[in-house]
Amino acid sequence: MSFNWENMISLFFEYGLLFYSITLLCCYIGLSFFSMRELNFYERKTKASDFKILAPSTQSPSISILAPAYNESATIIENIKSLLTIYYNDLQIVVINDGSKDNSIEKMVEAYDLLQTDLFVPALIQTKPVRAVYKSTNPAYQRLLVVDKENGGKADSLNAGINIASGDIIVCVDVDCILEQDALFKIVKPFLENSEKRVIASGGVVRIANSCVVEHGKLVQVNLPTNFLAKMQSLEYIRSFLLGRMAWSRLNGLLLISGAFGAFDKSIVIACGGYNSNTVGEDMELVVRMRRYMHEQGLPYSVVYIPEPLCWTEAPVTAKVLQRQRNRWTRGTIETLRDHRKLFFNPKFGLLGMLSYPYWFFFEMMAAPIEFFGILFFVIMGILGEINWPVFGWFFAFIWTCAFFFSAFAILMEAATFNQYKNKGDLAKLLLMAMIEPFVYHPLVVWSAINGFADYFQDVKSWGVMSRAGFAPQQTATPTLIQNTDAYKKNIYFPVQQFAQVFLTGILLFLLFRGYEFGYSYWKHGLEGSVSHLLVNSVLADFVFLFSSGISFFIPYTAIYQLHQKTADWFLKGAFFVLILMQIFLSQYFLTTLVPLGADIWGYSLAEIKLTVGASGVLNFWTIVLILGIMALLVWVFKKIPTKLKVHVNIAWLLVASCFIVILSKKPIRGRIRPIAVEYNQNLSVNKPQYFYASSIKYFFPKQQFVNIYDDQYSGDFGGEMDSSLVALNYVEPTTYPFLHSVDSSADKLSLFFNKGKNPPNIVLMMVEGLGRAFTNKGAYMGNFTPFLDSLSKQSLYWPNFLSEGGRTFAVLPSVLGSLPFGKNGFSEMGTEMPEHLSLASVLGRNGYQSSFYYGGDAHFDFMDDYLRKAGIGKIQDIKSFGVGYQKMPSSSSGFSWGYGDRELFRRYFAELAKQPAGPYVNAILTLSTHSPFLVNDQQKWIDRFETRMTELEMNENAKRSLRQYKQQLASVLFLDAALQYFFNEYSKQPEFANTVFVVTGDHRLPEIPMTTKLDRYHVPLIIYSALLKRPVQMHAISTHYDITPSILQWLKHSYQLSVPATATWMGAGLDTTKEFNSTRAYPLMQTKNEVNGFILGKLFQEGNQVFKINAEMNLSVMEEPEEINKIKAAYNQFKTRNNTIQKNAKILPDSLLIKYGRVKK
Amino acid sequence: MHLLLNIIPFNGLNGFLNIAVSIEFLQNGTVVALISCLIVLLVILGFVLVRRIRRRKRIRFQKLFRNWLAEAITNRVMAPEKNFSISIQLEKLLLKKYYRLLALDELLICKKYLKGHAMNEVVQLYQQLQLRKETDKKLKSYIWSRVVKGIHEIYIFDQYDAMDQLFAFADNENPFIRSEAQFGLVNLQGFEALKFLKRIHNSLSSWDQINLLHQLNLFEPKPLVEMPEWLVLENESVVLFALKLLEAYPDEQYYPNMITCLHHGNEAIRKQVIRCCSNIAQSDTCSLLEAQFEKETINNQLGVLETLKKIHPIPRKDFLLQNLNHPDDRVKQLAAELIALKFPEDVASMLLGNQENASKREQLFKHVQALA
Repeated sequence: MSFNWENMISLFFEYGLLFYSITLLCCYIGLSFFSMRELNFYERKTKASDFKILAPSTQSPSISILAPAYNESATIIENIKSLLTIYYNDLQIVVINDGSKDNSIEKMVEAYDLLQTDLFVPALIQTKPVRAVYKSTNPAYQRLLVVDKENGGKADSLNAGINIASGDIIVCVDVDCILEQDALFKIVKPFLENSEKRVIASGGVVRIANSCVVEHGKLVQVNLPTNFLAKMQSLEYIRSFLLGRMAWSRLNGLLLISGAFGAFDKSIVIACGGYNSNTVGEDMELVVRMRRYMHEQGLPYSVVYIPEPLCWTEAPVTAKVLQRQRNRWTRGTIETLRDHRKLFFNPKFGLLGMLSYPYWFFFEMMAAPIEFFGILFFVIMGILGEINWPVFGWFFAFIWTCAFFFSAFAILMEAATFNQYKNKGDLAKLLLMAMIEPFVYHPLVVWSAINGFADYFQDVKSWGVMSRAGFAPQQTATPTLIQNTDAYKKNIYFPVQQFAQVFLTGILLFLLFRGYEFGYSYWKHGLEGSVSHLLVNSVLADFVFLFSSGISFFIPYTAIYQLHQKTADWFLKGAFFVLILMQIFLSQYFLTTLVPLGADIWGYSLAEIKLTVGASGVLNFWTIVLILGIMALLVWVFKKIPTKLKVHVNIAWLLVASCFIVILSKKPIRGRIRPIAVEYNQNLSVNKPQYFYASSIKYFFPKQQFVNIYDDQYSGDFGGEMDSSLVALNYVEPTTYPFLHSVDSSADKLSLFFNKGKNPPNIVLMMVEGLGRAFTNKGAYMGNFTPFLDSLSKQSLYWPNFLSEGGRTFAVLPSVLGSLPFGKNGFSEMGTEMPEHLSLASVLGRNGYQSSFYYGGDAHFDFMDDYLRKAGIGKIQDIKSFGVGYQKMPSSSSGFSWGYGDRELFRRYFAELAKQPAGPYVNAILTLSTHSPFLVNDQQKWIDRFETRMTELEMNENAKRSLRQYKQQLASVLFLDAALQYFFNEYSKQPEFANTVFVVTGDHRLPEIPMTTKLDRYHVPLIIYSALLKRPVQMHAISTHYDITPSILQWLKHSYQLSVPATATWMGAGLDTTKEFNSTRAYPLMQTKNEVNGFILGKLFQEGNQVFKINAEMNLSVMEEPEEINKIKAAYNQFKTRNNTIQKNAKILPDSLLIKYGRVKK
Repeated sequence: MHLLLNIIPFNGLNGFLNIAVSIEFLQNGTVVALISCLIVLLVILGFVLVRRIRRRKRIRFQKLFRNWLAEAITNRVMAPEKNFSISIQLEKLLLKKYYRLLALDELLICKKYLKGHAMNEVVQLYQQLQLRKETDKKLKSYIWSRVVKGIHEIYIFDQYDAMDQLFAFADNENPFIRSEAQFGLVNLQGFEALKFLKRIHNSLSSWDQINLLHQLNLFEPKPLVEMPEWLVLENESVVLFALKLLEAYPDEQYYPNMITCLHHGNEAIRKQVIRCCSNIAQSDTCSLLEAQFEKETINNQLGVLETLKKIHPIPRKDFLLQNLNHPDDRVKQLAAELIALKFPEDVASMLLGNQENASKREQLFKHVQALA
């Protein structure tokens, strides 16, 4: 079995999370059971108890209440008063002022007649220096002791209190908490009850005091908080105390006593070293350490929890303060579990090590990150479409119901026992909170915990500002944020944050322009097919691209930052600026041409690019102004916006981490992008800069193709052994001349259809620019905008399912005339260094034919003239040879014109024809009118004609409306059709008309109207018309431009005994004249000069990595049969291997053939 | 998961997890959880309603009963030979167990808070209403909390005839039963009831001891003749309790017995002996404590010093000086306080004379001066 990271990660998340959830559920059920028993036991136990006898008894343990205070001047006096009202025989109250910056000490001194003393403070535990110890001169306050010390935090203050405490039991309280009247008795009683085990710590339930009525430091009425967050916390406290802690208390596995109110055996605390002031979770850490100590000493002990509400505290009412609190709790938990990791599954520590610690580790500490990454995984899977939504829905329902059950159970426990919330509707409100908690409150808590993790790893040691409204006027604590090192801030913190700001700005801009691309597309062409599929693919593609780019910029940026911050800033902004500009330009290119720009641009010369751009009319003064304006705007945005984006450093780290994750999982994410059937949508969904970048890389660094005959997927040689239903070519010397094969008579399919003339017929090849089947002849899905060609096809041999070999004009001449493979970027691109070869013109030229080429534009474009010369064409007539008397096509707004329109071209043709010497000829004509910018003479006439034509085609208003977007293109098609009509009408007046064979085809389908399928761009008609035809026939089998020359030559050979080569490098096997839809050949297809990216094998079609099946309507359906996929992939790879041998000046056939059938060199 | 199976053959786990992600399991699980939620909600609702109803019932009954009780007691005071006359309404209600238990609770409250003759009338009423039957039922219950309640009623209503039963419960395995029984015995008989101490094998918790001592405070002290026996019992908690009794009710005749416990293996017992010494000190107490000091735990060492502060004999100077250098600051503090108490003229020289730990000694000196 092969190791697959993707599968492992997926399995881990799916089954791992499930296992975790089930285990947690079982734990909660167990805890609920134990808590119920413990509550029941406690209730029965305390019914007959009279706690109050503890108060006067001389045998009661002495107690010291330790109350640390920091900046509590607003409420300290009242709080101390409430502590002093506690009636107990041997009670000491120690208030520790932890270096308050307010006037706490002064107030206490005044209120309680305090006098500074020289009382000795035993140094049992190391603390910050004690400045002074105060005792009251008033006998009423003789139990009060105030310690003033330097600031050291809560733990340090408590340690100072422990040092001076005289009691056997220390009770640690938050000075602003409200204690129940008998809280002290109840919390101390467990220390006396157990005779078998020593109780080392005891805690009580802490409840939320918000909205409760407090008078003179006493709680007189309990109300459910009105504040939403406080209400949620009430529910949370009920659940965690009544279900969680009571259960752990019963099991003697409790790890935590609340810092707000807890009692401890002082001797054990001192033996353990007191509170740890290096952690923010000092309360939990102390309990764990005390337990550990008892285990190590081998002494039986227990930690007890009192389920009765003994202490009331104020809960945070704002999300910010709540987050700080939970952040601190998380950090405290992590620190404690880290410091005591020795306990983890250590049997030496009994239940503590084998149950309590692991439970806290997995289900308290790790719960938030597991949940967080689980949600992240879920989101990713959702985007990738991997979620089984029904299962998810039920799973979610199950989890929510279980969560609600536990909350409801806790509320039931509360109602059945202490029933604090007696007001009408309180229980109902709590139940409502339980319902909405998973959606509203819980995510906040999880996020706070995640931040806690992040802060922990950044070594943040702050308590944060815990603002409280208080039961008295508001108090705030001064933040004591301590970040560990300046170096960290300088070298890591700031660059990460600044990167995130720029990155987010870049993302926003990118999305803005992407949105424009989508919006414009929708407005111009509408959106067919599945919009959600389109969006998902686009999001995935953009997401991968942006985050991959992000990391590519982040690494050098951080490196440069260490050297020079400003340069790094420029680098980063510059990189994103370029990225956004690329997106703008490339998306604009796509919106104009409807195909994304790939590496084919590298195949065009600068002159050609200038000509194309100029002819399109996009580049004019206003365009240039707009471009400059956009650039200026981008500069301004990158200068101003990043600093305005307040990105929390944790978010910044998350972004950077996401970039890393994306770049590692790029392949699987991209693998999830399923192809879109509608070609235009597929192109729209592609990330344009990424497409350009990837194809450019492939262009400059092509992969070596080799065929591994040992591969499981190897299905034999291309063109030979693969499938008996396919036509096989017999390669004669495959190692030396990969494309040289014998040509037999089977290539002659045309003889049957033609009457034999006296002399060899003239051949006129009419290659029409952009003539696609989408709008040509009967059955065109856009409508038949070529009425003349339609009528001509009915009198001709007609192939409605014909394919061009290229998606652009560059491929038509080598394909039609030479039936040649492509080489790297198209055969013609090799210019004057293209290999010597045979062509229709050269072979016929050897048989006495003359040849000419006619074109209304510059024949050097796409190196057509170079090819034609190599092909043996006698005369080239292009724009340069027109002279006067001909009207060019209208210029675009930039003043460019491609040249002469079709009618003018035909006029020119006939003018030259008249001068042509007698004898057979083969003439090739390439039209121009149906090319961007689709400007024809008398434009408005043809636009009106377009409107009329739509009516003739009986289109409804909706259809008309959608076609009007392409009125210029279709108007030019109508113009072309009329020009062809003129051509044939004029030709019919020529004496050689009766002995002329006209071959009419499109060079490719024009791309400026959106494609419906990937094959659409190649789908062109083939019409062979001649007066020599016996009868018109429609052949629905697939053939391509490659088949024209082999068929014509074989026909001429058999009918007119012309000398044609018996071996040749024709890619085609001859036109397939099967009437029914069929496909028996293998054809490569080249969309642009970038690379050979398409292949047909029989009825299979592959483009890129996707394989389709072609049906009779030339539509595509995804092929999923592995055998078929392997077959075509193998054939495709084999072709590419052979194709790579076609290089400049390569020898593709023996000299003997060239000498006999090649061009006559001048 | 298949990869995991190749490593660990958890076929059962795999099967379970696969079932767990199946839609049927989740549907069923959700339904079960939902039904559970509904049950809980219904229980909550039921609870609230029942509690409300019961509260109303209780309030009504309390009103009726209290009114009747007040009148009945007054009438009995006036005419003690007559029995209580119970109204028909009340009689009808008292036929039901629920109301009998409520009546019992009312009588309990009355008994606790009434004094004098009225208190006796409550007991009479308890008997007349035959509520003793309910108490007996409780004593026979398998549920410990009911037994405890029954015992409570026994001693609250002065049911001396149940003393034997209480004695039997005094050494029950259930700590709450035996605790309540012991308390009950002492409540009824005072010091005489302490004879159960010899018989019990289960330990007396500190809470029990406090309870018993608190209860004994209400009685006239009696000689603790069995003290020597108690102090040598195997049950260490009884020894501890005996010492607490001795602390509370000092008797010098038991000093030798007490002192032998100074070498007991149990730290808590030794601690208690040290405490007792503050009430029953003799001439050799000081030297004995000083001798014991070195062998003691830190807590007991502090106890020794505290006791030395309270007793008359004066500890040795060198003992105190030695402890000024004790590693534990609390010992130093107490030693300094002792020096100040016992050798007030020599405080300065003793505390400041030695340069060892000079700064600490200075603090101690200031400390004792502040106390003075």
